[in-house]
Amino acid sequence: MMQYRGSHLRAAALAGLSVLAFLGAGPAEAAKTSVTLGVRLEPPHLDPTAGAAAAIDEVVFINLFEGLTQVDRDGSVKPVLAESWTISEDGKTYTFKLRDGVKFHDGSDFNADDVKFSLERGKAADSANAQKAKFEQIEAVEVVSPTEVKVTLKQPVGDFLTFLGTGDAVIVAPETAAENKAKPVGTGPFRFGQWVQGDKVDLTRSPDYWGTPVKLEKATFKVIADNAAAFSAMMAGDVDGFPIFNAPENLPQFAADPRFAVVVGTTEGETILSTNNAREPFSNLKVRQAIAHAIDRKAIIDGAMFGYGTPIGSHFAPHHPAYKDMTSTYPQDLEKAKALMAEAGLANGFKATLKLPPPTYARRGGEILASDLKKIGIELELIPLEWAQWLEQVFKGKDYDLTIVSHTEANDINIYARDDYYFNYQNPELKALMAKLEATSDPAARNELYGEAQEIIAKDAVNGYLFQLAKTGVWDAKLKGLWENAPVQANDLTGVYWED
Amino acid sequence: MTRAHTSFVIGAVISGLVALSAAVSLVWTPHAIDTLNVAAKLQGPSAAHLLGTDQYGRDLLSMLMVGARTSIAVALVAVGIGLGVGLPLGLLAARRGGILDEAVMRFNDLVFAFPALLSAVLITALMGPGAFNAILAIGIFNIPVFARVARGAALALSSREYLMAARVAGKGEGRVTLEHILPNIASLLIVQASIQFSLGILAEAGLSYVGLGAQPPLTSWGRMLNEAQTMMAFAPQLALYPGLAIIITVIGLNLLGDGLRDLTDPRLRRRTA
Repeated sequence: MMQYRGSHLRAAALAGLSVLAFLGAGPAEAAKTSVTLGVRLEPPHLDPTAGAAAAIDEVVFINLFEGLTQVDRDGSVKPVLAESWTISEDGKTYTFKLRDGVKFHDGSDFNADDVKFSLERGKAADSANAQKAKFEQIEAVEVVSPTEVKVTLKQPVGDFLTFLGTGDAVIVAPETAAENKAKPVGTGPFRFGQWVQGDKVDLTRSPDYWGTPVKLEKATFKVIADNAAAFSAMMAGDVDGFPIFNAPENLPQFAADPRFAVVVGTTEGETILSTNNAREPFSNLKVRQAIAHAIDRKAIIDGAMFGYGTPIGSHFAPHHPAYKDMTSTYPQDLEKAKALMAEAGLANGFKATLKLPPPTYARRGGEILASDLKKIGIELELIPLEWAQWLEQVFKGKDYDLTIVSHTEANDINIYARDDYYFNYQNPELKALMAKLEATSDPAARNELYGEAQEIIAKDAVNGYLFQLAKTGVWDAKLKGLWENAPVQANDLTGVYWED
Repeated sequence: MTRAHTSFVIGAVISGLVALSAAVSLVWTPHAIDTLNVAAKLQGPSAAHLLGTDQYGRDLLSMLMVGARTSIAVALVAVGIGLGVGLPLGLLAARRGGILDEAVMRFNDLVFAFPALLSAVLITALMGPGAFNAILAIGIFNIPVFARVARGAALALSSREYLMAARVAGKGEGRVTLEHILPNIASLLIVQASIQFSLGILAEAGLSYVGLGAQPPLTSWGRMLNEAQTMMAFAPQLALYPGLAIIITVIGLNLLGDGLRDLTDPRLRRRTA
């Protein structure tokens, strides 16, 4: 009797298993050809040549827009719309041989006129480009033939090819440039699908792409601002990954789950306590030094980023060959900090504001910094801002005392030589150094100059130098080809595919 | 002791303790909460930190005490707004009647037509997040509650003999309202206030939880919950303690309100006396 029943049960179990096996082997076996990536910030618009927001580049650069060159995943520069180039002896003239047969998404041909238009647009008086100063180094753009362009610079620019490989220098068509903010038209492997404001941006595969066609048919960038919602979206499978996951405390959980791959790489993001050098009392070097002595970098990295991040002592990425460790310029030393405050005539401290944009590093870092600075008598009022407000008040309006932000552009130490930059920092010595750097193309000599610059701004304590932002990515373990590091602001999807 | 007494006493004790700890936090907390000590983060309970520490190494018990202060302050001012505006409106509507009564009551219906918390979210979203706007948002929705209670109670009294006697004796409407109506509806208002107070604490927690209420560095229970969200998996106590604090406080206030109502209800009073 027992045996009889047992065999029945076994048969039933087997039948059940085969049903399961059948279901498992069922319909979803064709390789997936779409991907949905979560991004924390919605791009303000979709034209990378008309805004400083990294959120724009992270959607459209490389995927939809291409430049003459492109910064690749390892930081090297590769040819894209330019097939090859020659540089004159004096380093001032670049002759680009352009790729033939490239079409914009609207069907028009790409040629030398588009290059001339795009570069001249960047340096025009009414240019909205975030890197206008870089474009202004261009003397003239000459169309030699439809597939050849000669670019003459005012003086040699050492990293000109790298600059051309960033989102700010992509090539756009004169006919569509004005509409790119809402309806971008480029030459990339993906074309614009739709933008549902507040929700997502869809890209679809471009059928007439000049290069290797991408494996994905559709890519969606979904805007999820809230950390807890981002976590749930990953767990529920609503998104396939976050190139940058904003709540580092959740990474161990993802890492323990075989469904996900946690990939921690580097970014070009120097996370700093930006200081308004033109405003009292921050114009006083002693006050800035006191602040530098009061900062506990380890506490900020542990407390705000749960250990993800590398301490920095100047405005330079630790993984760069020219990096100089300046973290011990002003080691944490409260006594020294208080003494400096007293020397500045502020023994009783002062009150100031700390404006905080939305990212975790800023909001959490702000609370920790406020506690650090309180110890030397500086009372900070924390003011949380949305990105649009931050860009308007702090970045453009320069109306701030202190703020925390990550500068995610590569090798951007030259911003310290810019007159109109929001740090309000003026140092002729550094300006001369940067001018020299621009005119130098020998890599070893450039690195030497980069080193000197790091030292100057570290000693001047222009800003509080906190840490290099880590690229804390998490995505489906079957999703392959996303970048580990972020040498340039982009989420390159050209090599992304689903593994079976 | 009757049931009403029991709930009143329990409610009063709980509410009193919460109020006391908030008051004490003004002058003393076990640890300062504006000095962070990240090296001591996420510790379990110990002699030094009775409830452990949060992600910045702050003492959780101290955080709860200061958080109570924010919750109570927001709820108190919100009830104050409701009472301060709603009560005169309700009394006026009851005494004058006619078009004024209609206008006040239809306005009340209008405000009531929107779910209170949703509207509070709307107001803070429009005016910007912050504790002040949260107070305003919660306060505005307390106005019709008090207006309606005051009007209803005042109307019920209006034909009582002692009111007529007072009028016959030559007292004006203002004095009648102040000296005779108000004292007689006070108990109702107190009960309503205790209920609105607990709702105010819930609303503040809700608004802060979604990021529209208290902003850093101001601590509140809702904000503690908000920050604990992403750490639930490895530090559930960060969410548990403020959550419990909210539940216990709201239960305490509701028991207090229930007890007060039963004790002050004349019909019940007669029976239990």
